[in-house]
Amino acid sequence: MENVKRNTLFPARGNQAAAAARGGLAQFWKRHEKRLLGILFVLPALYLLWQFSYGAFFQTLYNSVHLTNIRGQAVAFCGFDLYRSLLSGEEFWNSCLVSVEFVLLTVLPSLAAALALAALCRGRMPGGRLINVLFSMPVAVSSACVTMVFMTLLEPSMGLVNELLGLDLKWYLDSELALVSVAMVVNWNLIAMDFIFLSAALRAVPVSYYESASLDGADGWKVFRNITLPSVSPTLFFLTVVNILQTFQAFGPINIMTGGGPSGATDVLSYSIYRDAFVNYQFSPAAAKSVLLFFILLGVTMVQMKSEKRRVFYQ
Amino acid sequence: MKKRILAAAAAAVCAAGMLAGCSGQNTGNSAAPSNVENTSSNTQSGRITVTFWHAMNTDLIPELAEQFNQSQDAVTVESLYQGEYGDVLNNFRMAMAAGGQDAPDIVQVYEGGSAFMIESGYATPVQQYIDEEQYDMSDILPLIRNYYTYNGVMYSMPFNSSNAVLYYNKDMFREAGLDPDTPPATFAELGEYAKKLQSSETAGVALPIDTSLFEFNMVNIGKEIVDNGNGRVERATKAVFADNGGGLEVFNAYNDLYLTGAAEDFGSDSLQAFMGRKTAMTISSSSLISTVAKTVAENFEVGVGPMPRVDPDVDCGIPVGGGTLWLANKGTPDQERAAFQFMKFMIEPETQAQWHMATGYYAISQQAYELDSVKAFYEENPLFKVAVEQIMNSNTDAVGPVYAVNMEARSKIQDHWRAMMEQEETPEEAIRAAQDEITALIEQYNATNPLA
Repeated sequence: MENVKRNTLFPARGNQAAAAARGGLAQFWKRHEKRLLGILFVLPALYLLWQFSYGAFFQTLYNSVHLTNIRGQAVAFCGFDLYRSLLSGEEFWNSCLVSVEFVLLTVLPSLAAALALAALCRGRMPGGRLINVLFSMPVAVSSACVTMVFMTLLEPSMGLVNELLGLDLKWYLDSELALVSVAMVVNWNLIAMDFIFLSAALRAVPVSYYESASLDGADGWKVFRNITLPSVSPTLFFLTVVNILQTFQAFGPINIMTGGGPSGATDVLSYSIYRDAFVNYQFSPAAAKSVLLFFILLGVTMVQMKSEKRRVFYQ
Repeated sequence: MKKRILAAAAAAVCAAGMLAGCSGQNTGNSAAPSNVENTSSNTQSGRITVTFWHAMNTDLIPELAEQFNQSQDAVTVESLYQGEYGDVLNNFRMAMAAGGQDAPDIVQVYEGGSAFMIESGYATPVQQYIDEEQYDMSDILPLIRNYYTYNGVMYSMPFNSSNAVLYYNKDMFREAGLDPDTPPATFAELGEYAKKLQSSETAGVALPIDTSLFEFNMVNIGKEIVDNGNGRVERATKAVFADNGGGLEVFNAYNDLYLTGAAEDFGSDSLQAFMGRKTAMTISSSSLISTVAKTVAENFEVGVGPMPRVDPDVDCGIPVGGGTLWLANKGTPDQERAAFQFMKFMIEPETQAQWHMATGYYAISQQAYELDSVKAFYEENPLFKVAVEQIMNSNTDAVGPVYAVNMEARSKIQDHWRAMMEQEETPEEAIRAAQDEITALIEQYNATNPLA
C-alpha cells in the first residue's frame, strides 16, 4: 500500500520523462494536480520553518565545529574540540546543574499551585468569576514588567518584601538566593498559564463523577486523588512538557534581574548561550552549547513521552 | 516508536532553533522613520539624512539632534534610542553583518566595546575627518582625548564620559566622630572609616564587584592589565596583571577591606543601599551625583570624594568610562562627512554644558566649564566640583586597557573577585587564575582573528 502511494507522489524517472514527452508540463500538472497543489500549499510554511527553525539549526551545527572570528564568521574547522572543552570545563556543567535546579524550582511549584487553585475554583462560589480572572491575569503581563516589579519588591535595601517580613536578605544579589528570586518571577507567570489550562480541563470532568463520589462518602482528598488528578493527567502531562521546555529557555527575567550572576548562580544554559554569543562574541562555543541543549531537550521530551504511556489516563 | 522519536526530535529542533535563530540571519531594527524620536520639520531636498543610534534613555538626545537640524541646512540627524549599551552594539553588529543597509551612520558605543569596533573594521576612524577638515580637538579634555586615541589615531568622537567617585553619608560621619569634610583617600583609610561607621543596621562601605573599579585602581597605580602598552601600542598577546604585581596589590587592598568585616556587597544596587542608609559609603559612577543628592536631600547630607587609592604614595590618575560616537563604515564617505558635522556639534562647549548639567556626565569640552550657566550650576550643586576636580587633576596619561575580549575578561575578574570575597580563593590564587584564563581568551582570539 505504502509503495503504491510513493510511486504516485514521486513517479519513477521513466514515467516522468514519458509524461514530458507526451505533452509537457501541462499534462504532468493535470495528472498530479492534487498532489502538486498540496505541495504548493505547504511550501510557504516549509519555507518559514526552514528559515527560522531548521536552517538555523543546521547553521548552528556548522558553527559548532568551526572557530569564529569577531564578526561571527566561521574561519577554521576544529572538529569536536569545542564540545570536548565544554564537557571538560566547569562552566557547562554548572549551567546544566543550575538549569535542572531552575526547572525544579519552577515547574513543580507552579504546577502544584495552579492545580490547587484550579481545584479550589472548580465549584460555584460568590465572586468565582472575578477570582478566575484574577488568577489568570498574570499570563497577560510581559515577563519583563513582572521582573521589574519583583526587583522593586525584592530590592535589598529598600524593598517591600524585606521591610514587611523584617528580613535582611539580598535576594537576587545573593548567590544562594538569586535562582530562587528569578524562579519567583517565572512562577508568577507560569502559575497563571497552568491555571487556565487546568481549570479548563477540570470543567470538562463530568459533574456526575463528583456527585457519585460524594454519595459514596468520599472526602476531599479522596475525591482529588481518585477523580480530579486522573481526569487532568493529560493536561498535567502537556503542561509539564511545555513548562520544562519553557523554563529551559527562560531568558528575560534572568537577563534583567541577574545577568547570569552572581558568579554563575543563575547562569542557566540558555542564558550562557546568549552570553557567549552576544556579550562575549564567542559564537562557536555558543553554537556547541546550543547543540548540547538540543540533545538534552530531546532526551527530556523522549523520557516524558515514554512515561506518558504509563501514567497518563485518557478518557 | 520511531514516529515518536521523530516527533520529539522535531519539537526539540524547534526549541533549539529558537535559540539559534537570533544568530543566523537577522532582521535588523531598521531605522524606519516612524521610530525616529525627533520629528524634524526640515525635509527639503538637498539635505543629507544621518541616522544616529544611541543608548541614552533621555529626551535630551533627540532635543540636541533637533537643535543641530535647526542650526544648519545641509544635514538632518534622526536619533533612535536602541536600548542599553549592549543592545545598541548587538543591533549595530547585526545590521553591519547583514550588509550595512539598515545600520546607522553614527552609533554610540560604551568604552568596553571600543576594541570590538576597532578590530571588526565596522568603523571609520573619526581621525580621517579630523585630518580632512583640520579640525581642532584641543578643547577636548586631554585625558579623554588620550583615552580614545590608539596608536596615534582617534577612532571615535568622545561624547559622554564619567568615572568613579566615593559617596559618603556626612551625617553618619558626624555621628561616628569623623570629619565630614575629609573622606578617606586610600583603601586602608576606607577600611578604618568603615569600621567606625559600621552599626547593626548599616554597613561601613559597599564595594561593588565591578571590574571597571579594578581597572581604575590598576591605572591609578600605573600597572597594566595586558601587554603591549595595555593593548594600545600593538594588539595584546597576554594578560600581565598577575605578573607585574599590580593585580595582587589591588586585590589585597580589596581583601583587607573585606577582612575588616565592615564592607558589604550590594552588587549593582550599591548606590540604592547608600541612599537607603544601608551603608555609610560606596563607590559609584560620578554621573549620578545630582540624582543621589536630590533623592536623599531630605534624609541626609551627601559627601563626594575622589576614588580611593590603593597605594598612598602613587597616584597616576583615574581614567574615564562612558561612551563615544562612532562612524559606521558603510562605504559612504558623503554620509560619513555629514555625520561628522553632527559629531562636531555634539562636542561644542554649549552642547556639552547642556549635556553635563542635565545628565551628570562630565563636559568633555574645557570651554564648557567657563560658561556662566555651568558656573551657576556649580553654585547649586557643589558636589559636582569634586568629580570635576578629579578629572581635571588627573594625570592625562591615565588610560585603561584596550583588548577585544575585555567584556568576557571583565566577568572572569569579577568571578574571582567574588570568590576572594567569599574566602574561597586567596588574593594570589584569584589573580593568578584570572590572568591565566584571560591569557587563554586572548590567545584564542588572536588565533581566530589574524591581523591582516
